[in-house]
Amino acid sequence: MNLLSLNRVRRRCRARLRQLTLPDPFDLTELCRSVSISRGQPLHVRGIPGPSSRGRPCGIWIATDDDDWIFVDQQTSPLHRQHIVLHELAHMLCGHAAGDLPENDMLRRLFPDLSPAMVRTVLSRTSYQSEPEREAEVLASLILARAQPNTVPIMPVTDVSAEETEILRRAGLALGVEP
Amino acid sequence: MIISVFAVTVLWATVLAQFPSHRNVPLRRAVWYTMVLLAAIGTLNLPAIGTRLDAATGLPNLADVAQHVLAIATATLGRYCAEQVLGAVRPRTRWSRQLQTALPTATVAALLVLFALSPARTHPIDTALYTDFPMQYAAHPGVFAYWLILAVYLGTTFALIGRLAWRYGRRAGRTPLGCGLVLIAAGMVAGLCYLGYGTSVVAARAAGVGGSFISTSPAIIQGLFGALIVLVAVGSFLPASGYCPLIRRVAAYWSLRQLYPLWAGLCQAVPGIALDPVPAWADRIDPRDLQVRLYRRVIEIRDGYMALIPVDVPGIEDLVRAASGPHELSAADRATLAAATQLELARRAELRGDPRLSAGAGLPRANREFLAGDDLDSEVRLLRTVATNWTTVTRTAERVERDRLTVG
Repeated sequence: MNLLSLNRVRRRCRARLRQLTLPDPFDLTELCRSVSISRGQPLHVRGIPGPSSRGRPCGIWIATDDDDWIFVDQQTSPLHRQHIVLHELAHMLCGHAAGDLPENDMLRRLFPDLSPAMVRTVLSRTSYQSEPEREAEVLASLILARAQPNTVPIMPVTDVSAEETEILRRAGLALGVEP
Repeated sequence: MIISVFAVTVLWATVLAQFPSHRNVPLRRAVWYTMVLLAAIGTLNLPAIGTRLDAATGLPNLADVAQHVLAIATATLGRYCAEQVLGAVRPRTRWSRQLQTALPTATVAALLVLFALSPARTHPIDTALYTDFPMQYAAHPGVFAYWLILAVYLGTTFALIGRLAWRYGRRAGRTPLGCGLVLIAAGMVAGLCYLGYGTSVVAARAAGVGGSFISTSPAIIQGLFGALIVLVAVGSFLPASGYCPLIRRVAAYWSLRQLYPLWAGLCQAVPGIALDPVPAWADRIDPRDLQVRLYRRVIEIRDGYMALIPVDVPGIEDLVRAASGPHELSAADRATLAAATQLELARRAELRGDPRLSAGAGLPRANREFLAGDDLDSEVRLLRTVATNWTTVTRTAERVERDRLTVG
């Protein structure tokens, strides 16, 4: 990948990020609502049905005349799922649109009853070969990296009872961890 | 002397750094006041300050008595904080609330009376041989009793806080809070050693013992006191250290470097996951955009996981347990390493060009544990567990491959 091209994309995304009004604290559902309002049509986020398979995109945005649909692979971590949704939202924020509709098989599986004529845009997150994919990926990364809480974690991942969790929360509070 | 100055400097630095960012939280305020009192004790313990105070007031050993009274106040406040942290687990009765106020007041009153009756009120100590007046005048029954009261009061508090900090520090795992609590527990152990050793010196002096045991005691006592102060200061600072931008940058760089081998291995098998593939040397020297780069690293590792679709290996957790050697892994860590091993097997198969099956709709338990990261910090912690136990992962993967070859 051309480094100069990636740097150009980064600069463009940073400039775009400065113009964006993001929910504070960051809330993906709230951002989806705001994008939906600005596009003037409902936005739906769903899991991709069926098991993962090789080459299947982990995120897809399908725009029809009446709705926007984002499909996300469920078999990954919550942060990764958020990132995938945000990648598709970034396509919308950047005003990307597909020239052709290459995802016909996937489209038929997701919308068996939908006429291909009704579909305006299909974009899927598979690789970063094209500039729109790179741009969406960089913008999603900048938004979510900035949205991470500026704190340190105080809880272990698992294996702690609710009572111990409460004691640890109070211990963290006592030692200056933000409530 | 150098140890004391260093310890007190560290303590004041952490007190200032921890100036309560949320003063409206009583518990946080109480902890901060505890630290301020501890810093005041450390400052009075410096010979340059203590002797000046004694000289200015004309009262020999006033600095020592002030330190001991402050120590009682600090221990009481520390005990209060520990009980607040335990909260509803041990509800307080009215009687115990009254005792909480009466006990330190009575202890301070007893110390002051015993000091007033002792020769230490009028005679200064030999600072070259003794750090506190009870060690020089231990032969006087009032002074001996003075030390015992002080040691018992502080000792029970150190034991209570130490036990609590150790127990919950271990439960909090490898988080800043967990490490901070364990350091506080270590500080309490240093405090108990200080009291134990101090009591043996006082007892030896009361019995008329001299010699090297007494002459070396000031250095040991100062060392233990310094350890107490530094460990408590660092332990109480560590949980909130993540708010410091510099520390966050250093932590992000460290995590970035730790995750590099895992990420680079996945990029080798699935080159398409990398938005900006960088060689190791460039990754090492670049200090820019650490947070975004760390975020990208995590996302690209996740992309690699999804691209490779690891296949479930029956009994993988038992193999991980066997490969981990003598150190015991928690159930969560074992599941994480089991999932990482399955990913490593898929990566190796991809590099060899082996045909593999899809994992199917249901995820095995190990994979579920591996996909639990809610935010960047929990993801990084999860993946760092893999990075730090990489030997276990590769050893297990090699064992599975060997077994497959044998079966084949």
